[in-house]
Amino acid sequence: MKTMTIECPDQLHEQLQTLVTAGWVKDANQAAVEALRRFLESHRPELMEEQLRKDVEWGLHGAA
Amino acid sequence: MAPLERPIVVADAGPLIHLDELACLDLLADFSTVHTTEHVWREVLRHRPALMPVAIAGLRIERSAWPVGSAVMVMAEAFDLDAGEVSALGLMQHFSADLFLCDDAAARLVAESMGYGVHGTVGLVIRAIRRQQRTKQQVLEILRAIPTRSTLFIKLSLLAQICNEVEQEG
Repeated sequence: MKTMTIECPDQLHEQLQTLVTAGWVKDANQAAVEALRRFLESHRPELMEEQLRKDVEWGLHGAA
Repeated sequence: MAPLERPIVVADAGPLIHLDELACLDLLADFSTVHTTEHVWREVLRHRPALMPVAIAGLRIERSAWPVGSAVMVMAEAFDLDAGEVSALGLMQHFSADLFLCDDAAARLVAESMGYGVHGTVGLVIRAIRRQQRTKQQVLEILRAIPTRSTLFIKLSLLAQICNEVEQEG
C-alpha cells in the first residue's frame, strides 16, 4: 500500500465527512480509494486514445 | 462560412474551458446555437471566472433542468459522472440533440452509448481547417500549444501523432 496526500476543495471535504459521519463509508480513506478506482475504470488510456482518434477523424473528414 | 443550423449542439464544461484557454472560443460560432446548462456554466466559471457568456457566440444557458431517464441515470452513477455532465445529457435528450461537446472520457462513453455523436476540443480545433475557420498551420500551432496553454491532458506522443496526421491530411 502507498500513502497519498491530497488537497481537496472544502465543499468536497464537507460532503465526504457527512457521508462518513452518517456511516455510509468507513472513513475518508476508503471513499477516496473507491473514487480513484471508479475514475481509473472509466479513464482507461486505450479508451481516451480511441476517443481522440475519433475526434481527429471527425475534425478532418466529418460531415458536420 | 455561415453557421450551421444542424447539428443541434450541447456543450459540457471541458471544451468551453479548453477552447477559452486556447483563445479558440470563436470556433463555436460555426454552430447557430450551443446549448448548455447552468450546472455546466457554473463549472466553467470555477475554472475561467472572467469568462462572460457573450464571449461565446450562440451560447444559450438553459435555465430549466431536464432529468435524464432512469437507464441513463444508472449509467451516469456507474461511471461517476458529475452533476454538470448529467445535466448536459438531460439537455441532449430534451433537444434530441445531435452533437455533445465533451472532453471527459466517462461522459463521452455514456453519451456514445446513448447514440449521440460526441467530440471534444481536439476535434473542434482540427475541424476548423475543414470549416475554413483556421489555416492548417494555425491549427497545428494551437494543437502544439495544448500542453502549455491549456488544462487538457493528452499524452505527448499521441499529440505528436495527431499533429503529423493533420500535417499530412489536413
